[in-house]
Amino acid sequence: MLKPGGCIAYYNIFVTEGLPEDARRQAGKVRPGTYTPAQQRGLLRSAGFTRIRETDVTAEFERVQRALYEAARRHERALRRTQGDERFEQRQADRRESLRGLAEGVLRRSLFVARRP
Amino acid sequence: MADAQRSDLATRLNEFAAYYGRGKSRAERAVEREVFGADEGINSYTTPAQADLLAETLALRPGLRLLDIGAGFGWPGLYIARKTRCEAVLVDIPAGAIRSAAARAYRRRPLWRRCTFARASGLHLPFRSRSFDAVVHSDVL
Repeated sequence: MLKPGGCIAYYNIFVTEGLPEDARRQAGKVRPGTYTPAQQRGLLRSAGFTRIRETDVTAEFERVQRALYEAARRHERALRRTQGDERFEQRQADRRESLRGLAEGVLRRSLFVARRP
Repeated sequence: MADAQRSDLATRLNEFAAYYGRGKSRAERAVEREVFGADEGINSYTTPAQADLLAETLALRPGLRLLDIGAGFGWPGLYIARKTRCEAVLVDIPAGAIRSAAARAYRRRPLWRRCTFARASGLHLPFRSRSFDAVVHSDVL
C-alpha cells in the first residue's frame, strides 16, 4: 500500500515481554490476541519494514483509561440509557481489568513507527 | 486464529456496528470532552497530543496521502487531515462508522474535498500498491 519511503505509525496495546504463563493468560483475557512488542517488530520486519521504532506511552494510556472510567461513572445514568445496562457494565469491567493489567505490569501501550524502504 | 478468539472478535465487531450505527450520545460526547478536551469523535485511547505527534512523525503536508485504518468516527484521520491539509482515505468495517466519519468531514467542507471514505477491513484493503505516503491506525483489533 505504501509508496517507497512511506511510513506507518500506530498506537496499540501490547502484552509485556517475558511474562510467566499465568500472567500471560491474564493478559490474554483482558486483551485477546495481543502481541508482545517483540512479536510486533518481527511482523513489521517480515513485511519488509525498516527503521522500526517503539515509544512506550503506557503512563498516558493508564491516565486516559482511569479518566474514562471515572467520567463514565459521573455520567452513568445517561450512559446506561444509551448503551444499555449490560453494555455499560461490560465496558466498565473491561476498563477495571485493563487498569489491573497495567498495575500488574502485564499490559503496555506503544507507538510503533516503521518505514518502507 | 483460535475459535474462541474468532468468536470474541465477531462479538466485538457486532458491538462496534451497533455503537457506530447510533452515533455518539450527548453523554458519550461529554465523556470525550472531559477526558480528551475535544469533540472529535475519538474512539480510541489516542489523545489529541498523540495525534499531533503522529502527524509530525509522518511529516504530513498538503499533497501527501494518508490512509487511516479502523477510523471509526474519523479519529485520528480527519483531525490529522484538518491540521496538516494532507489528503486522507479513511476505512473501517462498520458502515455506520464510515457514514459518521463522512458526515463529520462534510460539516467542514474544505476537509470534505480532501477526504475519501471506504468500507473495508485492514486485512483486505481495496487499494493499489504504492497508493499512500503514510498509514496510521489506533488501537485496532
